[in-house]
Amino acid sequence: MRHERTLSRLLCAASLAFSAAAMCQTPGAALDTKPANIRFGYITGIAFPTYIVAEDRGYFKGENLSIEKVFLNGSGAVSEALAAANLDMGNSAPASTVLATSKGGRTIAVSGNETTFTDKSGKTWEAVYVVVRSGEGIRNLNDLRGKRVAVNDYGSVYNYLLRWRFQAAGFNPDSDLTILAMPFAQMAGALVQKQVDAIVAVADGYAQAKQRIPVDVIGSHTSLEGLDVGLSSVIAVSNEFLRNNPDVVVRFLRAMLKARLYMAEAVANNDMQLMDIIAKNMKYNPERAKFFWETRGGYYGKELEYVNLLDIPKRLVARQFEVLKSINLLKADVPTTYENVVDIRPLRRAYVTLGLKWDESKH
Amino acid sequence: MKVLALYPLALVLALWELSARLGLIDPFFLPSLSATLASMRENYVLLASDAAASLMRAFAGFSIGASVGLVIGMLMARYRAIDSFFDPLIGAIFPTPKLALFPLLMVWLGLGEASKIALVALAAFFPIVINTYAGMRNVDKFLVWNALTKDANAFQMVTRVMFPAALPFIFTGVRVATSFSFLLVVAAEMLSASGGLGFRIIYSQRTFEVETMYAAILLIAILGFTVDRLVGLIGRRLTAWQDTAAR
Repeated sequence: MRHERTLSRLLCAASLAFSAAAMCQTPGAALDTKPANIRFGYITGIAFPTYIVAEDRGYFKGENLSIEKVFLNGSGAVSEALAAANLDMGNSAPASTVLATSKGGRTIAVSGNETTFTDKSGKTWEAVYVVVRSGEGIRNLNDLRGKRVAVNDYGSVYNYLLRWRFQAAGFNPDSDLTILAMPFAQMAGALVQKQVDAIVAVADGYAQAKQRIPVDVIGSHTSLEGLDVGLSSVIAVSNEFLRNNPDVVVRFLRAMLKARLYMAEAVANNDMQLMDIIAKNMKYNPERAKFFWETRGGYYGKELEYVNLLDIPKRLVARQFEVLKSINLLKADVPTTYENVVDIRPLRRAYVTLGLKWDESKH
Repeated sequence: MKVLALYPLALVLALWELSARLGLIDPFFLPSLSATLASMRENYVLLASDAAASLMRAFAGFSIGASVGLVIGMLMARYRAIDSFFDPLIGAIFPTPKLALFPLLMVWLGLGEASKIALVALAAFFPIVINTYAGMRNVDKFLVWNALTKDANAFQMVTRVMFPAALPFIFTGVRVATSFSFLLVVAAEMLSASGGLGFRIIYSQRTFEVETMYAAILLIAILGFTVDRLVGLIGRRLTAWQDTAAR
């Protein structure tokens, strides 16, 4: 078993080294702009506004890319498909990517995607909320002892963070907490019908629950993770695809960066067209669209106080390693090197080609 | 000699281990048999607890489905009115994939044990009701007439003539029902559970604990095989009187 793991890690390192050689060309060198198709793993039922905008405003087309969306039901499934090279790129969660890569999966993260943080004015922009029914005596995470909590997927970072927090509080997450996986779309109903006691829901689910019964929020992504900035999703790539198509990856990231620049400008100018794009794609009614905008969709540009656009900060990766090792999903001797799980060079190259400034102090 | 009859299984297992050792398969997706067995040893407490949960659900569901199936099958065979009532219902519902009904069961019965046991009961019901009905209807008429000449009443007819004569059919249904029970319990646990072998498989898959995932799969295969052999043995004992063609 150890021999197999060593072999996998060597293969992984070799493919990364090969990618490094491929990437060693001058960052500013002209990109290969031949038409390319990307099989892209997309998690069902979750809003990824940056991707939505990039698609809607033709930024992928502008980079001569056609995206073939493949819907999967969780970040673990996306990471697995990337490792098997059944997908080229995909939305995954930071923890899933760190876990898959550390265990020998041939996939690596190349950029952040959607950010969660509290801005300068104190407003929180959260990916998820830990929502409970009001009046049942659950005021904080410790009160979840003996309760049932819904997360979207067992491979979700929220499963890991809940376990980590519970363990830190001196409880046994295996016996003192029941974690059930269910799609985000079902969570509000499950909470209302008392099938679960708490849900880790996206803004949409929170809004739906709130519309039907009195609820309280006892936690969020950033409060669970304990960092100034978090990522609810990252863009990951199959090692094979990155090795064979480094420029295609850069072009994809250029399209995403262009989308984010547009979104930041739209937020700064209070341009509601951005909200319309997201609402149209996610099929939100006006009330849900407004709630989404107020809790999630209106953050673009504000995250630059803390992190470079689409960057994966080192402190975030370090936290993933800490959490995964603490709950025994990663062995203590697994190397916790940032470069093992993130290849940030395509993103930096995208920055250079777009004339954007990279701030190393935020990385 | 009976052990030698398992050589196809041994061959598959040997090929599995050999493929892994020769590096023909990526251990990220399929670990070696030895790694899987090592994980089984390391996690035996966890897997035993999961196996107990799955077996409990399967047994509970099977018991309910089998009991109801037996009774309804016998009544259908005995009374035309009951046959006319249940036959079209069985014809309509039997082909429906039972797993497709699971979301409905979760809404009606909740996310706990009831919905999973109900699903298994549904799955176990149909092969047993159908085979019980077929078995009872195919009882040799000579046996029935013989019992009638000896003034057997309806209860004696069913319990001492028809039911024993139908046992071979019924046991075929029981074997199919036990397989279905395992299948559905694992599938239900994959969709919604916090314990059990199905849950362990999906949880291990999502957290990239591949060895544990395959350990759970292997354990399901072992348990399924064992239960199937046990049911076959019980069936052969109970129907030892039946003439069968010698091999």
